[in-house]
Amino acid sequence: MPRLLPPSEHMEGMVKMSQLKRYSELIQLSSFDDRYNYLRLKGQVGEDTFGFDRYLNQMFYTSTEWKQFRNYIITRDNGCIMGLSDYPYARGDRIVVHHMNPLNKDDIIHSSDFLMNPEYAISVPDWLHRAIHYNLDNVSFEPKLVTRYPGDTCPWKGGH
Amino acid sequence: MESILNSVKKIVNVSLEDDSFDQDLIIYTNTILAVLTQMGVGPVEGFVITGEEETWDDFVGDDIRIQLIKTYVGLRVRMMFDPPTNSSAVQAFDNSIQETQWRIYAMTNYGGWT
Repeated sequence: MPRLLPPSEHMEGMVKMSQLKRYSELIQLSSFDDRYNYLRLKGQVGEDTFGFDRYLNQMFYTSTEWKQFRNYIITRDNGCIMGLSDYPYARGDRIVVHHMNPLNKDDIIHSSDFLMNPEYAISVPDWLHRAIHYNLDNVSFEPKLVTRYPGDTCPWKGGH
Repeated sequence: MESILNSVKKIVNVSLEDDSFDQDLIIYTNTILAVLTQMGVGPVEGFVITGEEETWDDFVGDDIRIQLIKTYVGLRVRMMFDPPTNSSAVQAFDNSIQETQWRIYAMTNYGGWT
């Protein structure tokens, strides 16, 4: 009878250890470029992930558990891109919680550890998420410094 | 023992050496500590900080559940002192605050906070 492994051990065994990306490793890197390069996926664009089982993907991303997890990750990253404190999200940025190790349908069916373990997730803006998945070179970004003023988050006090 | 003010400064991303914002942060922190007193956490007579001398141990002892209180104080002060400009981030912070607050209530009402 095969030895049953807890999900994390089992799933990590399926990904070569050198390829496994972790939040605890990512935050050791201090620059935007280093973190981006760590997260870049070297896979082929158009590689089959969910195929005709995309309904699983949709069910997962609309679940309450996922929404709670998403809030947790954005808060953990302190409202900053890839957790970099000098890169806060700009107004209007669409925030995406990125699975650092790509999911497939088995991950959802078997609730693998990659699904909602904070160790394998990071928040990024949508444009950067696309760059990570398309493995783009030369992605650089300088945050715009915003001058804050009292009431700037309050619409009836002149804010937005 | 960890200073309450220094913990808050870390969460709001202010350097520990920079005391420019200390007065604002002390006022905001005391506001949240007063809220926690109403929720049944800490000394019944209330608790205030005046600088970096007051520690979490002074406020609630060495209870291991203090981590929840640190998160709550940090997030609420952040939302008053330097709220995110991005609405999704604001929503995520607000939801985390609500959840943490509910969990603190659950501890004080049903778990027996000591």
